[in-house]
Amino acid sequence: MNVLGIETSCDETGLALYDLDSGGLRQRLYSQIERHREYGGVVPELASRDHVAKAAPMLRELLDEAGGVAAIDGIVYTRGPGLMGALMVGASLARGLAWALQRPLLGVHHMEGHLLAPMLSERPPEFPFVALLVSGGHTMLVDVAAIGRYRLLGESLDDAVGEAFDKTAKLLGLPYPGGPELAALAATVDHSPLTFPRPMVDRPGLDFSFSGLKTFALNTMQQLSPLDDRSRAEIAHAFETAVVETLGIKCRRALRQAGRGRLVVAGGVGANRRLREALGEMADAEGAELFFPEPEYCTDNGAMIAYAGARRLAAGQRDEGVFDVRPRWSLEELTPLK
Amino acid sequence: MLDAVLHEAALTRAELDRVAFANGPGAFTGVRIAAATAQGIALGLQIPLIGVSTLAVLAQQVADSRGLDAVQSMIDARMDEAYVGLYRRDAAGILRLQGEERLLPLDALRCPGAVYCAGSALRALEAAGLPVPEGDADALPDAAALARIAGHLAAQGAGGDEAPINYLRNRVAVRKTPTVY
Ligand SMILES: Nc1ncnc2c1ncn2[C@@H]1O[C@H](COP(=O)(O)OP(=O)(O)O)[C@@H](O)[C@H]1O
Repeated sequence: MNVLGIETSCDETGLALYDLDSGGLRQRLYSQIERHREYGGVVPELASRDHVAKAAPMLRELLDEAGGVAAIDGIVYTRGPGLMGALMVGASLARGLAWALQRPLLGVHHMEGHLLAPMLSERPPEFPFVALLVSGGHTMLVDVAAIGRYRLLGESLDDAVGEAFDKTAKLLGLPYPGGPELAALAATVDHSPLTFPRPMVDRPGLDFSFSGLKTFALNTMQQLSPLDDRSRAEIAHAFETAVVETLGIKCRRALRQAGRGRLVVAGGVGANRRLREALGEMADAEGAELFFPEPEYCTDNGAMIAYAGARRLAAGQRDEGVFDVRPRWSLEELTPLK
Repeated sequence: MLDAVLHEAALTRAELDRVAFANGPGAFTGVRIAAATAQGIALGLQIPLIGVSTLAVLAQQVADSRGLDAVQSMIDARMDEAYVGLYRRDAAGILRLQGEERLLPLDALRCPGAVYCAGSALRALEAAGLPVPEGDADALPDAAALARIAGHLAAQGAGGDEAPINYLRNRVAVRKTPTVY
């Protein structure tokens, strides 16, 4: 079964054809980052405009390569969570296509896509596992018992990790999205005399809060202003240390609490070198296996939607009549496969 | 709804030759839903796509239902502005744009030669306490008028893989200059 996946929930237009039988995958990805850079963040209206301009031509290209529309046995799209207008574009395209081809249609949960994306990697984890999802829009720890059996262990009560990186980077005058830039700046020093707080580590739960770190960074900058290159780098370093340690502590706690021996890290912040090192050490000490899917499956893409949707279509799930998108949608509302 | 229309027309999907949609201006998300759905249908059926101005569709619909030869379409664009276009019937019966479609402040709207006006901007004018020209504030663009125009265009060979949206309003975001410490 060949399933077309369409992802347009935020600022990436992602399309993929996934063959559930052979595991074969063809995909197209267009990132709008350049367009949003000058605004210092994603502008929803511009994101929607880009999706509607890019998705159909990209799809035509993908289908030409795959041998035409006859190659499609089912169509799935990101129903949510995400930006309302952006979601509408992918959902409408999918629906028009499904009607024309008379193929089954299903709306997929974006975060389920992320949770299952590691299954596409060279070295897929087995179930069950704990997933740490760290992106520009999300920070969550999820216990994944099986497809559709998700328990939210903890999430950010305010800014997502990537967002905290980006906002702090912006304060440091770095271009959007500043996460990688901040990490590079931090790497120019090997330690920092500054100490940032580790938010919420001394409380028992698994929730996160990162907006305080950004405020702490701002206060520090104002105190040390005007900043020279060295103090900028030290601020970046201390910020990164605080984030990395906080994530490490919570991941260890999550593994223990859920009684799991596998940790899967997904999302753009998973590219952070110091986070990878810290989690590696933690996992070794815990005797846990650690999985970092290839970067192409970590960030938003169509393949993860095609995969998650294919598994659900194969289990007989379909969209029922009503057409809707779900800008807000909890993972725990999802149902296990029959 | 698509199935019901085909059923009523006693047509199958495979008998469709073109798919047309109103490509703006108008509420952004609404226009995109129409555009993306039409793109999906065009791709699936492998038929060309035709985009027609929402203002043209409105003019056609109002002119045909009232037996007029000229209509000025004016759609409320919020923020005290309106999307405006003046249309006149050609020999083939199709309403053709005169000049350009424009995004104008409500208080700059004029009715050339007392032409009949149509569209939601009439209500916006009234709400703003501005003079309201003669016309129909409740008229809405409809799919039948769209199909009449598109059918005519298709007969002249129009249609393609792509049909861009005409937003008219393109100032939708502001650049921020961050404070640097
Ligand atoms: N090396 C890195 N260190 C820290 N943050 C990073 C790094 N690489 C990417 N990021 C951050 O990851 C986020 C993008 O991840 P992605 O999964 O694409 O998220 P989203 O689609 O939600 O924006 C951005 O916030 C970016 O700054």
